[in-house]
Amino acid sequence: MHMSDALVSPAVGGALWLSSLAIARQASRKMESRPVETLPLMGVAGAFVFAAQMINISIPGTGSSGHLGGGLLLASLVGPEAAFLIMFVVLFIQATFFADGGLLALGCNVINMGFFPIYIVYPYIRNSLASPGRGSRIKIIIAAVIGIELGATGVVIETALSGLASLNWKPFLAAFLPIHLAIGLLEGVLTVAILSFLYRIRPDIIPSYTKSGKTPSRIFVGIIFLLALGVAGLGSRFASTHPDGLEWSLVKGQFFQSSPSKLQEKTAPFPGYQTGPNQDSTSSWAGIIGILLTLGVLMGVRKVFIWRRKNLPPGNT
Amino acid sequence: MSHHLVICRDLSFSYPDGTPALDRVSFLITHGESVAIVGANGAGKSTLLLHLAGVFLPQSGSVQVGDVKVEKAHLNEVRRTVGFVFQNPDDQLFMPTVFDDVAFGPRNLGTTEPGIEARVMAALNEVGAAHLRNRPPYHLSGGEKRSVSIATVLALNPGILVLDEPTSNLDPVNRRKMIRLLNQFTHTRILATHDLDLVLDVCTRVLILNQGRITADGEVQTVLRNKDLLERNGLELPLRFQN
Amino acid sequence: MAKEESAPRKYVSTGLISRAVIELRSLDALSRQSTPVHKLDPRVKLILVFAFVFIIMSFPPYALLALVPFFSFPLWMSTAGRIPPRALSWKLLMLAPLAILVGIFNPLLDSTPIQVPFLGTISGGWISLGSIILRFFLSASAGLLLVGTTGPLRISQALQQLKFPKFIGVVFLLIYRYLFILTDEFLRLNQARICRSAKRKAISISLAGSMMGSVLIRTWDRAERITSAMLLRGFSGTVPLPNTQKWTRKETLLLFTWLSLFILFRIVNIPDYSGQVFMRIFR
Repeated sequence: MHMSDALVSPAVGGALWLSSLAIARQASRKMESRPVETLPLMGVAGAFVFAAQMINISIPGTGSSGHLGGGLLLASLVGPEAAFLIMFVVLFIQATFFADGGLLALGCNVINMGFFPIYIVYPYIRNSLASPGRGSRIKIIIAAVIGIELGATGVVIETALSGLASLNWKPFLAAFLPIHLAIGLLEGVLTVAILSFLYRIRPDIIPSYTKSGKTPSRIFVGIIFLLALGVAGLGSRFASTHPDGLEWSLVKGQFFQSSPSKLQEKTAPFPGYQTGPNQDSTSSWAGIIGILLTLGVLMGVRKVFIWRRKNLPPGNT
Repeated sequence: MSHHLVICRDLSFSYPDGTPALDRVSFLITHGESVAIVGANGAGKSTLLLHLAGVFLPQSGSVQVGDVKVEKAHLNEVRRTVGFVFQNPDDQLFMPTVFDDVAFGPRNLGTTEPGIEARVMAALNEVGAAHLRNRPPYHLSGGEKRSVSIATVLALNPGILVLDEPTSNLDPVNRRKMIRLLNQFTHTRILATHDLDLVLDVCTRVLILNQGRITADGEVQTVLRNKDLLERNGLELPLRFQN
Repeated sequence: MAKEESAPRKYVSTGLISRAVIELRSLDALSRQSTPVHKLDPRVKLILVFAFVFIIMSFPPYALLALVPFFSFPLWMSTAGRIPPRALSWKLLMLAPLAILVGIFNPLLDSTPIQVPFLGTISGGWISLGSIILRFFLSASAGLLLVGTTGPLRISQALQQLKFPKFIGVVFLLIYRYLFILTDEFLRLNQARICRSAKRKAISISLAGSMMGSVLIRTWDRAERITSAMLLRGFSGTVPLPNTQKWTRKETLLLFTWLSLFILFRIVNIPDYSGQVFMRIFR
C-alpha cells in the first residue's frame, strides 16, 4: 500500500506532508506529559512493527499473502499519539533507507497507513480493548477493515489528484477496494490474534495505556485533514489548467520539441531562433543530439568528481 | 565520596504480581572490594543488583551507596556513583557507533565536545576497544560488545561497578579476557554470576542468595569449597574443585 | 562479528528479507566514510534532497528528456560521496517493478498520439510510463544516497535542528537500532518454524499471531531493560548530539548552487535546447 514518489504531485505530496507534520507536532506536544520511559518503548515497538511487516502471511482462500500494517495494533498498545509518531518514523525509514514509498509520498503514506487506522478507527475500538470478548474481537476486525479501506481509498484519491498515472479511477476503485477487503481482514484477524495472545500471557501490557487518556481532539485532526485535501485538490486543479510549455506542445503532437519558454526566448543564441510548430527531421535530430550532449556532460562531470576525489587525502573510514 | 560503601539494610521487595523477590537482605561492602552474588535462577540476583543502581527503589529497608541513600531525590547522584553493566549488551548499546554510544552518558551530563573525545577514548582504551570506535554495535562480536558496554559505563567515572552475568555467552578466550579486564579495575566490583570459576579468579567475597534471602556471606575460598552449602542452594562446586 | 553478519544469508525462504537487511547494513557501513559529502552539514543534504524530489515531481506527466539533467545530482552525491553504484542498484531494481506496476496501464489508457522520431506515432501513455520510471530512479536514488552519505545519527540530528516534532529524532534513532535485532529475531523464529513444518512460504494467521505475540512480549521486556540502561546513563528525553557540525559558507554556497541548477533544469529543457543549438551551429 506504500505510494511511490513517482505517482505523487508536489501539490498533493506537499499538502499531506504539512498536515502529517501538523498532526505529528500535536502528538509530540501531548507526549511531553508522558514519562521519558515511553520513548525507548516507542523505539522498540516501531522496530517490532517494521520487522513484523517483513513476515508474509497467507490470506486464506485467496492464495495470496499480505503483511501486517500495524497502525491499529500500535495504537492499542501505546496510545494514538505515540502510535502516530512511530508510524511517521517507520515510514520515513522505509522511504529513505529502503526506497519503499518515497520522501515526497511520505505525507500520503503517513495519512493512509497512520492517520486513518490510528485517529479515525482506533477511538471506535478503544473501549473494546479492555474486555477480550467475542463481540469486541469482531469490532476490532471490522475497525481494521475500515481502516485499511480508508487507506486504500486515500491511495486512489491521492493518485487521481496527482494525475501522473492516467488512471480511470472509478473502475480502479472498484478493483482496488475488494483486494483491500482481504488485506483489511488479515490486518484485523492478526491484530486480534496478537492482542488475545497478549491477554493470555501478559495482560499487563495492554490496559495501562488504553484505559487512561481521552479521545484525541478529533476536530483538530479533522480540520487539518480537510484542509490538506482542499489544498491538494486546488493545487492539482491549478496545475492542470495551467499546463506549462512542455505539456502544451506535447498535446499538439510534438515530443522532442518544446515551445521555448520566455527565458529560453530571451537567451536564445541566435536572433530569430524559434522552434516552429512544424515537426521536421531537424528537431528530431536535435533531440537525439541534445540527449547525447547532456549525457556526455554528465559523464564528464563524473570524471571530474572522481579525479578530484583521487587527489584528496583519503578519509579515515 | 572517597569511601564507596554499599550498604543494604533489611531490603525487601516483591513484584507487582505479588511474587516475593528479596527478603530482608542485609550486607555491607567496603571500598575496593570485589564481591560475587551467586544463586540459582530466580534467586533474586538481578533484582538485588537493580536496587543498587536505583532502577528499583526499596519497598522496605534501605540501600545506601557512598554517602547517599537510594531514593528518588538522590537518583542522579546514585547513578553517577554506580556503573551498571547489563547482561545483554544489546540492551545497553543503542547508538549507531561505538564512539557515540560511549559518549552518550558524558554528553547527557553536559560534558563539552573536546572533553568528550578524551573521556571516550580513555574508557575505550581501558577495555582495549579503542580500535572499534567507528564501528556500529551490531558489527561487533559478543566479546567486543561486552567490552564496549563496560566502556559506556566507565566513561561516567563510576566509583562502583555492578555487572550482571559478565561472562554469559562468551567463548573461553573472551571469557579469559573478561576475567583479566575485571581484575584490572580498582573500582568496588559487585557481580552476579553462575560462573563460579570466574568468582574464584576475580572476587574475594561471595554472597549466596536463595529465594531472595542471603544464605551465606564469606570469603571465596571457604564458601566455594563447601559442597553441602552450595548444593543446598542449587549450586555445585566450581569445576576446578571437582574430582 | 563476521559470523553474526553473514548469519541471515542462510535463511532460504526469507532470502529477500535478509537480503534487504544486508543491503541496509552495507549502506550503513558506507555512511561512516569520511568524504566531502559526508562531512557536509546534514541539513544541507536533507533540504537538497527534498527540493530535488519536489522539483522532479513538479514536471508534467510527459516530461522525459527534461528529466535527464537531474541525474547530475545523484551522480555528484555518489561519486563525491564514494558510494559505489552497486550499493544502490540491487535496491532500485528490486523496487522498480512497483513503480512500473502503477504506470503499466498508462499506455492502454492514455492514447494521446505522440510522434517519436524513428518510431512513428505512439500513445502518450508510453511516454508517461517512461517518465514515471525515470522519476522513480531519480527520487529513490536520492533518498538512498542521502542515507549512504549521512548515516542515522546525523539524520536524527538534522531532523532535530530542522524543527521536526520533538520526539521524531530520538524515536528514529531507537527504531533504527532495534530494527536489526528484531528482524534477526523474526528470521530466527521463522527459521525454526520452517525446520518443523512443510515448506510453505507464507505463515497461517493463527501461527503468525502467537509468533508475533511472543516476539512482542520479549520486545516489551527488552524495552524495560533498555529504558533502565538509558536512564542510568542520564537519558532525559533527548539524545545529546555532537555539535561539531557547523553551517559554513561552503554549505550555503553548495545549497544555492544546486538549488539554482535545479531551477535551471526545471525551466530549460537542457537536452532539447542544447540539441537545437548544436544543429544550428553545424548546419
